[in-house]
Amino acid sequence: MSVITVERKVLEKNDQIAQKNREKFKSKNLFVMNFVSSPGSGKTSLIEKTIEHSQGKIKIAVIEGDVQTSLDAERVNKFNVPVVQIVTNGGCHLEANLVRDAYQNIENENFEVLIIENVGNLVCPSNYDLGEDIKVVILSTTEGDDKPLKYPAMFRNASVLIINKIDLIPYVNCNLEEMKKNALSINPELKIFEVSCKTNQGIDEWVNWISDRIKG
Amino acid sequence: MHELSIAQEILSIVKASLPEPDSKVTAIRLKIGQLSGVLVDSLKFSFEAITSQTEFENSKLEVIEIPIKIKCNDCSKVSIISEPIFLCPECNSFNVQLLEGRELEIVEIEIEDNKEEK
Repeated sequence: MSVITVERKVLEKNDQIAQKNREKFKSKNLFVMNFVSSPGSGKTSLIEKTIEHSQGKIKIAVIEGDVQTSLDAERVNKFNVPVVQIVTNGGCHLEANLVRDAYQNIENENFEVLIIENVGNLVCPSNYDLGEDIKVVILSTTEGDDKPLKYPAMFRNASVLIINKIDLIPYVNCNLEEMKKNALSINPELKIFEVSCKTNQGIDEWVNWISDRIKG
Repeated sequence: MHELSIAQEILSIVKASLPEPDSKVTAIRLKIGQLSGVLVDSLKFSFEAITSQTEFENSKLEVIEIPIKIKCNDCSKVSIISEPIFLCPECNSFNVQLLEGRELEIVEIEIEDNKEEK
Protein backbone atom coordinates (compact mmCIF):
# COMPACT_ATOMS: atom_id res chain seq x y z
CA MET A 1 0.00 0.00 0.00
CA SER A 2 1.43 3.38 -0.83
CA VAL A 3 0.11 6.83 -0.26
CA ILE A 4 0.28 9.64 -2.78
CA THR A 5 -0.01 13.18 -1.52
CA VAL A 6 -2.41 15.18 -3.64
CA GLU A 7 -3.25 18.35 -1.65
CA ARG A 8 -5.53 19.83 -4.27
CA LYS A 9 -8.74 21.76 -4.00
CA VAL A 10 -11.63 19.83 -5.47
CA LEU A 11 -12.98 22.89 -7.25
CA GLU A 12 -9.60 24.19 -8.42
CA LYS A 13 -10.62 24.03 -12.08
CA ASN A 14 -13.58 26.30 -11.43
CA ASP A 15 -11.45 28.60 -9.27
CA GLN A 16 -8.85 28.96 -12.04
CA ILE A 17 -11.46 29.91 -14.64
CA ALA A 18 -13.07 32.29 -12.15
CA GLN A 19 -9.73 33.98 -11.63
CA LYS A 20 -9.35 34.42 -15.39
CA ASN A 21 -12.86 35.89 -15.54
CA ARG A 22 -11.96 38.27 -12.73
CA GLU A 23 -8.85 39.48 -14.56
CA LYS A 24 -10.84 40.00 -17.73
CA PHE A 25 -13.60 41.94 -15.91
CA LYS A 26 -10.97 44.04 -14.20
CA SER A 27 -9.25 44.88 -17.47
CA LYS A 28 -12.62 46.14 -18.75
CA ASN A 29 -13.24 48.15 -15.57
CA LEU A 30 -16.42 46.23 -14.83
CA PHE A 31 -18.11 46.04 -11.44
CA VAL A 32 -19.50 42.50 -11.29
CA MET A 33 -22.17 41.31 -8.89
CA ASN A 34 -23.35 37.74 -8.36
CA PHE A 35 -27.01 37.76 -7.23
CA VAL A 36 -27.85 34.76 -5.08
CA SER A 37 -31.03 33.84 -3.22
CA SER A 38 -33.66 31.16 -2.86
CA PRO A 39 -36.22 30.89 -5.68
CA GLY A 40 -38.87 33.60 -5.62
CA SER A 41 -37.13 36.15 -3.42
CA GLY A 42 -37.16 38.70 -6.24
CA LYS A 43 -33.75 38.55 -7.95
CA THR A 44 -35.13 39.30 -11.40
CA SER A 45 -37.48 41.99 -10.06
CA LEU A 46 -34.54 43.62 -8.32
CA ILE A 47 -32.56 43.55 -11.58
CA GLU A 48 -35.49 45.16 -13.40
CA LYS A 49 -35.80 47.87 -10.75
CA THR A 50 -32.05 48.44 -10.66
CA ILE A 51 -31.95 48.97 -14.42
CA GLU A 52 -35.07 51.14 -14.38
CA HIS A 53 -33.79 53.41 -11.61
CA SER A 54 -30.26 53.70 -12.98
CA GLN A 55 -31.14 54.69 -16.52
CA GLY A 56 -28.92 57.51 -17.66
CA LYS A 57 -26.62 56.91 -14.68
CA ILE A 58 -25.23 53.38 -14.91
CA LYS A 59 -24.86 51.10 -17.92
CA ILE A 60 -25.79 47.59 -16.90
CA ALA A 61 -25.56 44.18 -18.58
CA VAL A 62 -27.09 40.97 -17.26
CA ILE A 63 -26.26 37.28 -17.37
CA GLU A 64 -29.32 35.24 -16.38
CA GLY A 65 -28.94 31.76 -14.94
CA ASP A 66 -31.91 29.44 -14.77
CA VAL A 67 -32.54 25.74 -14.68
CA GLN A 68 -35.00 26.04 -17.55
CA THR A 69 -36.54 28.68 -19.87
CA SER A 70 -35.36 32.08 -21.02
CA LEU A 71 -38.27 33.85 -19.32
CA ASP A 72 -35.99 35.96 -17.13
CA ALA A 73 -33.85 37.11 -20.05
CA GLU A 74 -37.03 38.10 -21.86
CA ARG A 75 -38.08 40.21 -18.87
CA VAL A 76 -34.71 41.98 -18.77
CA ASN A 77 -34.59 42.33 -22.54
CA LYS A 78 -37.46 44.85 -22.41
CA PHE A 79 -35.03 47.38 -20.97
CA ASN A 80 -32.75 47.27 -23.99
CA VAL A 81 -29.67 46.24 -22.07
CA PRO A 82 -27.21 43.51 -23.09
CA VAL A 83 -28.52 40.22 -21.70
CA VAL A 84 -27.55 36.56 -22.08
CA GLN A 85 -29.46 33.58 -20.75
CA ILE A 86 -27.68 30.53 -19.38
CA VAL A 87 -29.90 27.45 -19.07
CA THR A 88 -28.27 24.94 -16.74
CA ASN A 89 -30.63 22.07 -17.67
CA GLY A 90 -31.01 20.87 -14.12
CA GLY A 91 -27.72 22.22 -12.76
CA CYS A 92 -28.34 23.84 -9.37
CA HIS A 93 -25.73 26.61 -9.66
CA LEU A 94 -23.69 28.57 -12.19
CA GLU A 95 -20.05 27.68 -12.75
CA ALA A 96 -17.23 29.94 -13.89
CA ASN A 97 -16.95 28.38 -17.36
CA LEU A 98 -20.64 29.04 -18.07
CA VAL A 99 -20.16 32.69 -17.15
CA ARG A 100 -16.99 32.89 -19.27
CA ASP A 101 -18.87 31.55 -22.31
CA ALA A 102 -21.93 33.74 -21.74
CA TYR A 103 -19.80 36.85 -21.32
CA GLN A 104 -18.30 36.34 -24.78
CA ASN A 105 -21.70 37.16 -26.25
CA ILE A 106 -21.80 40.64 -24.70
CA GLU A 107 -18.11 41.40 -24.43
CA ASN A 108 -18.18 44.13 -27.05
CA GLU A 109 -21.25 45.92 -25.72
CA ASN A 110 -20.91 49.12 -23.76
CA PHE A 111 -21.54 48.64 -20.01
CA GLU A 112 -19.84 49.15 -16.67
CA VAL A 113 -21.84 46.93 -14.32
CA LEU A 114 -22.44 43.24 -14.91
CA ILE A 115 -25.13 41.50 -12.88
CA ILE A 116 -25.03 37.71 -12.87
CA GLU A 117 -28.28 36.22 -11.66
CA ASN A 118 -27.45 32.83 -10.22
CA VAL A 119 -29.82 29.88 -10.04
CA GLY A 120 -32.27 30.25 -7.14
CA ASN A 121 -30.56 28.21 -4.44
CA LEU A 122 -28.93 29.22 -1.17
CA VAL A 123 -26.57 26.24 -0.92
CA CYS A 124 -24.50 25.28 -3.96
CA PRO A 125 -23.78 28.71 -5.50
CA SER A 126 -21.75 29.63 -2.41
CA ASN A 127 -19.06 27.12 -3.43
CA TYR A 128 -18.56 28.32 -6.98
CA ASP A 129 -16.59 31.48 -7.57
CA LEU A 130 -17.61 33.05 -10.88
CA GLY A 131 -15.04 35.84 -10.90
CA GLU A 132 -17.42 38.43 -9.44
CA ASP A 133 -16.41 41.37 -7.27
CA ILE A 134 -19.15 40.77 -4.74
CA LYS A 135 -21.98 38.42 -3.94
CA VAL A 136 -25.31 40.08 -3.23
CA VAL A 137 -27.73 37.88 -1.30
CA ILE A 138 -31.39 38.68 -1.64
CA LEU A 139 -33.76 37.61 1.10
CA SER A 140 -37.46 38.40 1.13
CA THR A 141 -39.55 39.01 4.22
CA THR A 142 -41.84 36.09 3.34
CA GLU A 143 -38.98 33.64 3.82
CA GLY A 144 -38.68 34.15 7.56
CA ASP A 145 -36.12 35.86 9.74
CA ASP A 146 -34.10 32.72 10.51
CA LYS A 147 -32.85 32.11 6.93
CA PRO A 148 -29.34 33.51 7.54
CA LEU A 149 -28.79 31.00 10.35
CA LYS A 150 -29.92 28.13 8.14
CA TYR A 151 -27.65 29.02 5.21
CA PRO A 152 -24.59 30.52 6.91
CA ALA A 153 -22.07 29.86 4.13
CA MET A 154 -23.99 32.01 1.69
CA PHE A 155 -24.44 34.90 4.11
CA ARG A 156 -20.84 34.68 5.26
CA ASN A 157 -19.55 35.01 1.68
CA ALA A 158 -21.82 37.85 0.61
CA SER A 159 -20.96 41.55 0.88
CA VAL A 160 -24.47 42.92 0.52
CA LEU A 161 -27.83 41.75 1.85
CA ILE A 162 -30.95 43.05 0.15
CA ILE A 163 -34.10 42.49 2.19
CA ASN A 164 -36.85 42.54 -0.40
CA LYS A 165 -40.66 42.70 -0.10
CA ILE A 166 -40.29 45.07 2.83
CA ASP A 167 -43.84 46.30 2.09
CA LEU A 168 -45.18 42.92 3.23
CA ILE A 169 -43.84 43.25 6.76
CA PRO A 170 -47.29 44.03 8.28
CA TYR A 171 -48.73 40.84 6.77
CA VAL A 172 -46.05 38.24 7.35
CA ASN A 173 -44.53 36.59 10.34
CA CYS A 174 -41.11 38.17 9.97
CA ASN A 175 -39.28 40.20 12.58
CA LEU A 176 -37.10 42.56 10.57
CA GLU A 177 -34.77 43.41 13.45
CA GLU A 178 -34.30 39.70 14.18
CA MET A 179 -33.56 39.02 10.50
CA LYS A 180 -30.88 41.71 10.42
CA LYS A 181 -29.44 40.55 13.75
CA ASN A 182 -29.21 36.97 12.48
CA ALA A 183 -27.55 38.07 9.24
CA LEU A 184 -25.01 40.23 11.07
CA SER A 185 -24.20 37.42 13.49
CA ILE A 186 -23.06 35.37 10.49
CA ASN A 187 -21.36 38.30 8.79
CA PRO A 188 -20.96 41.62 10.65
CA GLU A 189 -19.60 43.30 7.51
CA LEU A 190 -22.82 42.88 5.50
CA LYS A 191 -24.15 46.07 3.99
CA ILE A 192 -27.94 45.84 4.31
CA PHE A 193 -30.58 47.47 2.11
CA GLU A 194 -34.30 47.24 2.80
CA VAL A 195 -36.24 47.44 -0.45
CA SER A 196 -39.55 46.77 -2.08
CA CYS A 197 -39.61 46.07 -5.79
CA LYS A 198 -43.35 46.67 -5.61
CA THR A 199 -43.38 50.16 -4.04
CA ASN A 200 -39.79 51.14 -5.04
CA GLN A 201 -38.89 51.78 -1.41
CA GLY A 202 -35.10 51.74 -0.97
CA ILE A 203 -34.31 51.16 -4.65
CA ASP A 204 -32.71 54.58 -5.22
CA GLU A 205 -30.49 54.17 -2.20
CA TRP A 206 -29.30 50.82 -3.57
CA VAL A 207 -28.71 52.26 -7.05
CA ASN A 208 -26.73 55.14 -5.55
CA TRP A 209 -24.58 52.67 -3.69
CA ILE A 210 -23.74 50.86 -6.95
CA SER A 211 -23.06 54.20 -8.59
CA ASP A 212 -20.55 55.07 -5.83
CA ARG A 213 -18.80 51.71 -6.33
CA ILE A 214 -18.12 52.33 -10.01
CA LYS A 215 -16.95 55.89 -9.46
CA GLY A 216 -14.54 54.71 -6.77
CA MET B 1 -27.52 18.70 -4.97
CA HIS B 2 -24.13 19.63 -6.39
CA GLU B 3 -22.41 16.64 -4.76
CA LEU B 4 -22.57 14.74 -8.03
CA SER B 5 -20.50 17.33 -9.88
CA ILE B 6 -18.10 17.45 -6.92
CA ALA B 7 -17.75 13.66 -7.08
CA GLN B 8 -16.89 13.99 -10.77
CA GLU B 9 -14.24 16.63 -10.04
CA ILE B 10 -12.74 14.37 -7.37
CA LEU B 11 -12.56 11.47 -9.79
CA SER B 12 -10.88 13.53 -12.48
CA ILE B 13 -8.26 14.90 -10.05
CA VAL B 14 -7.62 11.40 -8.72
CA LYS B 15 -7.18 10.03 -12.24
CA ALA B 16 -4.72 12.80 -13.04
CA SER B 17 -2.72 12.05 -9.87
CA LEU B 18 -2.15 8.35 -10.46
CA PRO B 19 1.45 7.23 -10.97
CA GLU B 20 0.30 4.64 -13.51
CA PRO B 21 -2.98 4.84 -15.39
CA ASP B 22 -3.96 1.41 -14.08
CA SER B 23 -2.98 1.98 -10.43
CA LYS B 24 -5.62 0.55 -8.13
CA VAL B 25 -6.94 3.19 -5.76
CA THR B 26 -8.09 1.82 -2.43
CA ALA B 27 -8.84 5.08 -0.64
CA ILE B 28 -9.22 8.79 -1.33
CA ARG B 29 -8.81 11.03 1.68
CA LEU B 30 -10.69 14.32 1.66
CA LYS B 31 -10.87 17.31 3.95
CA ILE B 32 -14.38 18.70 4.08
CA GLY B 33 -15.14 21.76 6.16
CA GLN B 34 -18.40 22.18 8.03
CA LEU B 35 -19.04 25.35 6.02
CA SER B 36 -18.21 23.86 2.64
CA GLY B 37 -21.85 23.22 1.81
CA VAL B 38 -21.15 19.59 1.01
CA LEU B 39 -23.23 16.81 2.47
CA VAL B 40 -20.81 13.96 3.11
CA ASP B 41 -23.34 11.12 2.78
CA SER B 42 -24.62 12.53 -0.45
CA LEU B 43 -21.08 12.91 -1.79
CA LYS B 44 -20.27 9.29 -0.92
CA PHE B 45 -23.47 8.15 -2.57
CA SER B 46 -22.69 10.15 -5.72
CA PHE B 47 -19.15 8.84 -5.82
CA GLU B 48 -20.37 5.25 -5.53
CA ALA B 49 -22.87 5.88 -8.29
CA ILE B 50 -20.33 7.21 -10.79
CA THR B 51 -17.65 4.61 -9.99
CA SER B 52 -19.91 1.56 -9.91
CA GLN B 53 -18.60 -1.14 -12.28
CA THR B 54 -15.46 0.86 -13.05
CA GLU B 55 -11.86 0.43 -11.91
CA PHE B 56 -12.69 2.79 -9.03
CA GLU B 57 -15.49 0.62 -7.72
CA ASN B 58 -13.49 -0.33 -4.63
CA SER B 59 -12.01 3.10 -3.98
CA LYS B 60 -13.32 4.38 -0.68
CA LEU B 61 -13.90 8.04 0.10
CA GLU B 62 -12.53 8.77 3.56
CA VAL B 63 -13.62 12.11 4.87
CA ILE B 64 -11.87 14.16 7.51
CA GLU B 65 -14.51 16.64 8.67
CA ILE B 66 -13.10 20.04 9.61
CA PRO B 67 -14.97 22.04 12.24
CA ILE B 68 -15.38 25.80 12.07
CA LYS B 69 -12.35 27.45 13.65
CA ILE B 70 -12.31 31.19 14.24
CA LYS B 71 -9.84 33.69 15.59
CA CYS B 72 -11.03 36.74 17.46
CA ASN B 73 -9.54 39.99 16.17
CA ASP B 74 -10.14 41.65 19.54
CA CYS B 75 -8.86 39.15 22.10
CA SER B 76 -6.84 36.91 19.71
CA LYS B 77 -8.42 33.76 21.11
CA VAL B 78 -8.74 30.85 18.66
CA SER B 79 -11.92 28.81 19.13
CA ILE B 80 -13.81 26.00 17.52
CA ILE B 81 -17.49 26.80 17.27
CA SER B 82 -20.28 24.29 16.77
CA GLU B 83 -22.89 26.68 15.41
CA PRO B 84 -22.01 28.97 12.53
CA ILE B 85 -22.61 32.08 14.59
CA PHE B 86 -19.40 33.99 14.27
CA LEU B 87 -19.13 35.10 17.85
CA CYS B 88 -16.01 34.81 19.98
CA PRO B 89 -16.96 32.56 22.94
CA GLU B 90 -14.30 34.27 25.03
CA CYS B 91 -15.18 37.95 24.71
CA ASN B 92 -18.47 37.92 22.71
CA SER B 93 -16.99 39.93 19.86
CA PHE B 94 -18.32 39.48 16.32
CA ASN B 95 -15.02 40.75 14.97
CA VAL B 96 -13.65 37.31 14.12
CA GLN B 97 -11.90 35.75 11.17
CA LEU B 98 -12.55 32.31 9.81
CA LEU B 99 -9.45 30.12 10.00
CA GLU B 100 -10.90 26.76 9.01
CA GLY B 101 -14.18 25.25 7.94
CA ARG B 102 -14.46 25.98 4.22
CA GLU B 103 -12.13 23.17 3.08
CA LEU B 104 -13.00 20.98 0.12
CA GLU B 105 -9.72 19.29 -0.71
CA ILE B 106 -8.22 16.01 -1.72
CA VAL B 107 -5.45 15.33 0.75
CA GLU B 108 -4.05 12.03 -0.49
CA ILE B 109 -4.86 8.80 -2.22
CA GLU B 110 -3.90 5.31 -1.26
CA ILE B 111 -2.99 2.83 -3.96
CA GLU B 112 -2.29 -0.87 -3.99
CA ASP B 113 1.31 -1.76 -4.67
CA ASN B 114 1.92 -3.59 -7.90
CA LYS B 115 3.05 -6.89 -6.46
CA GLU B 116 2.70 -9.10 -9.46
CA GLU B 117 3.52 -7.75 -12.84
CA LYS B 118 0.94 -8.40 -15.46
